Amino acid sequence: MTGEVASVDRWVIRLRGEATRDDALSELRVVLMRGLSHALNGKGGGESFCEDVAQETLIRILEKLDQFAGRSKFTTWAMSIAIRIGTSHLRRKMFKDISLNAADSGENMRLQWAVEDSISVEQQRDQRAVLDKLKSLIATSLTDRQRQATEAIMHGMPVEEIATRSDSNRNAVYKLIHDARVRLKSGLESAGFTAEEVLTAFA
Amino acid sequence: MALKNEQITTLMGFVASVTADGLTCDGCLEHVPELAESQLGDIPITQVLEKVKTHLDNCPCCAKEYETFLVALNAIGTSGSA
Repeated sequence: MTGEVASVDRWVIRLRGEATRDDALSELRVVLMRGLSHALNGKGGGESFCEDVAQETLIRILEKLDQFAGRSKFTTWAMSIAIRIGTSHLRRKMFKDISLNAADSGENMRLQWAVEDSISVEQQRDQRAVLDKLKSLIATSLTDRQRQATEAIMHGMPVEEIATRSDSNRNAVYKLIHDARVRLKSGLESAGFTAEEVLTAFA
Repeated sequence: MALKNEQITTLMGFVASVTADGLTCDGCLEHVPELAESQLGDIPITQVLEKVKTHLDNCPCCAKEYETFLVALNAIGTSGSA
C-alpha cells in the first residue's frame, strides 16, 4: 500500500511540476496508447483514432488532476478516462447517420413477433400471453419519453447517444429507462408473470 | 421501426432482469478503477463496489465500457507502471 501511494504521488507530482510535466505526459501517453490500441482497434478505432483519444485524455487528466483520490493506481484511473472518451467517440461515429426517430415506431412501441414453429404450442401460448400484457403495459404505463428511449435502446442506440439527441444527459436517460423497466416488470408481476416465467417463455 | 423477435427477446430480458439501482452512470465511472483492480487482483469487493456491480448488471452501456476497460488494463498490466 505504501508503495502504491508513493507511486501515485509520483505521477501527480510529476504532472504538476513544470520541469517534469512533459516527460510524465510522454510516459503516460505511451501507457494509454498501449491500452487503447488493444481495447479499441477491433471496434473501429484505428491507430490515429487512438492517438487523438490519448491526446484528449491527457488534457482531461491535467484538468481533473485534483479529482484523483488515490483509490486505485494512477494509470488505472487514467485509463478509465481514456476508455470513456474513446467509447463515447466510437458510439457517436457509429450512430451519426441514424436519427432518434428512425429508432421509434410512432405513437406506441410496435412489437412484431413472428411465431417460431420449432417451439411447443404451450411455449407459443405463454409467449403470446406475456407479449399481449407487455404491449398493454407499454401503452398504459410508460410516458412517451420512456417508450421512445426504451425503443431506441432496443435498436442498439447507447444511452449516451439518446441523451445527446434529446438534450439530456446520460444519468437522466439511464434513470428514465430504468424506471420504465421497473414499471414494466412490476406490471408483468401484478399480472402473474414472474421474471423467471418471462425469461423461460422467451428462452 | 417495429421491434422484431430478437429485439423483443432482448426487451423481455431487459425488463425481467432489472433490479434496484441507486447509482448513476457517472457514479459508477467514479468507482470503476477500484472495481477493476479488485476483480483483476482477486481482492474481495467492498459494499460500495457491490453497488457498482449492480449498476453494471443493469446498464448495458456501462457494462460494455467496463469490458473494454478490462481489455485495456490487461494490455498495460495491472501491476505495471502505477
